[in-house]
Amino acid sequence: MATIRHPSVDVVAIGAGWTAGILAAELCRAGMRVVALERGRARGERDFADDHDELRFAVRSELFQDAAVETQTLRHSTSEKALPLRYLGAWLPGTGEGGAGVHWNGQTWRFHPSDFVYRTHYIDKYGRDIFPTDMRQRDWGITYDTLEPYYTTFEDMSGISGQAGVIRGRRIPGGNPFEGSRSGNFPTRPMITSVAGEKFSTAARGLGYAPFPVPSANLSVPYTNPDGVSRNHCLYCGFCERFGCEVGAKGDPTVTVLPVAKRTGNFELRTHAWVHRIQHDGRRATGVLYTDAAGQTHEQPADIVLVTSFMFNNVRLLLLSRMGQPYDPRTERGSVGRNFAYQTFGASASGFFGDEDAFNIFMGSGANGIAIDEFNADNFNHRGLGFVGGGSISLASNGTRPIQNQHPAPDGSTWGLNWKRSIRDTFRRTTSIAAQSESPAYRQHFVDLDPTYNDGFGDPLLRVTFDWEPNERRMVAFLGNKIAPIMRAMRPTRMTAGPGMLPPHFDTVAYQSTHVTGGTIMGDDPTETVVNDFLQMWDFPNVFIIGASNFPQNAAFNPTGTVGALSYRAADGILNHYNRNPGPIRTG
Amino acid sequence: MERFKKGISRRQLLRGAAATGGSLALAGIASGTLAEAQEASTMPTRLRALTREEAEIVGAMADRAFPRDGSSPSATEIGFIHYLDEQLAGGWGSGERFYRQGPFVQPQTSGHGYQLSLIPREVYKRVLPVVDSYARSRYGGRSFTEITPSQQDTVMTALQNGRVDIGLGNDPNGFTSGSFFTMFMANVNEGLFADPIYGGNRDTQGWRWVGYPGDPMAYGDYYFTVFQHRDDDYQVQPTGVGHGME
Repeated sequence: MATIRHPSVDVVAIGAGWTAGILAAELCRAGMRVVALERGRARGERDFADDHDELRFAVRSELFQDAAVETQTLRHSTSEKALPLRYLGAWLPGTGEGGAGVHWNGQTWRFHPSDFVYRTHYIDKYGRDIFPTDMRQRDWGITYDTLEPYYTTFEDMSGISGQAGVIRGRRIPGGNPFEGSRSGNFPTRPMITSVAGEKFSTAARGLGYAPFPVPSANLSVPYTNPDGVSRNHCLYCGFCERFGCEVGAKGDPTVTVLPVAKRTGNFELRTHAWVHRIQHDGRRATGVLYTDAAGQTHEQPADIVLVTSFMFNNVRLLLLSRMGQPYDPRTERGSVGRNFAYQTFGASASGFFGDEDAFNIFMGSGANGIAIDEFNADNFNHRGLGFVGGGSISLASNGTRPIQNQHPAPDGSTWGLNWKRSIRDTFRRTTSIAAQSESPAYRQHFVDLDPTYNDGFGDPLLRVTFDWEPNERRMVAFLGNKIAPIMRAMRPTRMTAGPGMLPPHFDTVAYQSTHVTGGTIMGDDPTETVVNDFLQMWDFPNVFIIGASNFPQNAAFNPTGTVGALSYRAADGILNHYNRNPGPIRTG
Repeated sequence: MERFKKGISRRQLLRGAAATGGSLALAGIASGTLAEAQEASTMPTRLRALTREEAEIVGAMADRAFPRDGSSPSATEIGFIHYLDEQLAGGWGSGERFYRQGPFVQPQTSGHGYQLSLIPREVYKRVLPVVDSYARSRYGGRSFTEITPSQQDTVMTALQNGRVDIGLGNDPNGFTSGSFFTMFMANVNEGLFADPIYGGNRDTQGWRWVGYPGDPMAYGDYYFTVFQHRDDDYQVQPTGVGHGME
């Protein structure tokens, strides 16, 4: 079959999630014609009317990337042979209109000012020796202050419910005292706090901490955003993570930015369009090649290519298309694939409250929770601790469902009569506190193309080389010891707590986080980074790459707020810089 | 709208009952439906994936994992075999969302997860006869279904600890009997707590055991109204996503 060549457009976007959706809304409004190519299907609220089904969505993964067609391979070091994740496990990448933005929880954070100048901050304060010799922490090439207006735009667009802690340098009671200064408060007030959340708040306050509500994309009140999009408030049904929202209360691309792009008349979404290659002449991209559901190959020429799929495929598409210099861990040369990082869990406490009849743990929302920030980033003194980094400690009330939330009995049994009786007693009366922690970058953690395993189209899978390092083991041990006294102060009947632990090797089976980062990192050095501070590719000025793949290392907070801010930053770069002078916005 | 009213009236009924009789009222509802459950079959009349013998073995295992306790039913009494057989015959059992391209390699380190070439249905059909012959070899030729509950528990523990050779690899990081036991227990949890439309959790007895209310859509008022009284002890007759089809 001959390739079908489509008429050229101003912009082609790969994917139709948050990043592509935001760029499409902004660029289409400015009169640019945008085509988005999405490998999955069209979908929206209508698809989720009957989705309160834990087996179908949470266990059998209906909304996620289909591992039968494409997965990743994993090895713990370069001396090991990588094996495929035959079932999705540790992470759950999305597919379909809205991408993973449809099935996220909605926790919407801003990274700390110090996160963006990570290397400089730690070296200035503690000296160079604070970093292990194989760690490769970097500054982002952008500061919090530069990014602040874009964060605000994302929060106003998606209607984030929260309580500011710092506005224009002034502390606001009830918010996070450690956050970067905001230009204004959240657009909507915090969500209602659960009984367990209130217990956590009281305990944390008693220990001298400053608990605050987790910023949430699950609306606390009905809201009309600056684009004129109105949405209803959250019903606290508890079906967010792994599910779509049937009432549109969860900020997701299908109920926010994509409708805005569609109503301009300048936007076209093609679904079941699987992009395999970015075409280029070595200096500029000329378009993309994709396959439709019938196997027909299409060429979509464009003046600008937006690499807006997801962390994994942003990197993979560059490698498959031979764009940029692949990273080589032996020489540490090259940029594409460098600084893969993840998210570190392992520090938690679980408490059983025998007299508690009103936790109602099945109610809640994806981002409903109370957090403290005292042990996150460099909010505490790291001198003599033996690690860098920290974690966001929180109690989440995000809807506990029974298939995936049955715990061992006090005697340790996981089946049998004791277990049966135990789950009857504990299911409704158990709550937990956990730290979501940083994942630093290392020389030996990176992604490249797998030499053995292919996707359903015959292209190499992405290979991840990653493991837990001693720094993170010390970090989670420390965080676990900070969590235990909070749980104790909540006065449970019994509790499981103590120093946080990580398994001997990174385990791909148990779900941990979909917050994979790096591989197309941003910065100010064209030899070691892939994009500049407008997310414009150094080597190809008409290519913009946006996603958590831009993060030089991962902070402890959920990434979507920052990914959203970077998307608006890229739109600004295209509309106000690139369009005026279609070349490199920065010179390295 | 019909559904809405139904949800409300049910809940009000429950609330009223809970107000007068507390947990006893709930226990009354549970034992009322237990009679129906006991009448219902533990074995499907027609099996789609398992043989009758395999179904009996895995059913006996499930009834040790979630045994009858006084008046509360066991796993098979609330539909575990119905659930598992449907799952093994359907998409999951047939390898849906399973990356099945070779080469297949037995992992030499931890953390790589499932690496067999077999689809889940084949795993069950391969391992269940091994469980039975393991029982026969230890207990005078008697099947797993014929040995005593405590002997069954001994076999279950051996499986869980990876001590039964299921012939699918010899590396502790490969697929051991412990890996199979984990798969089995995940399916037990699903059979107990998945929405009743899948054949298990019959009459929401699994949900009632742990106090899970099911699909909030069924209650008309959602939780939002309730969440404003979130310090109430929320008790309802659980309902699944199939509530409109009743």
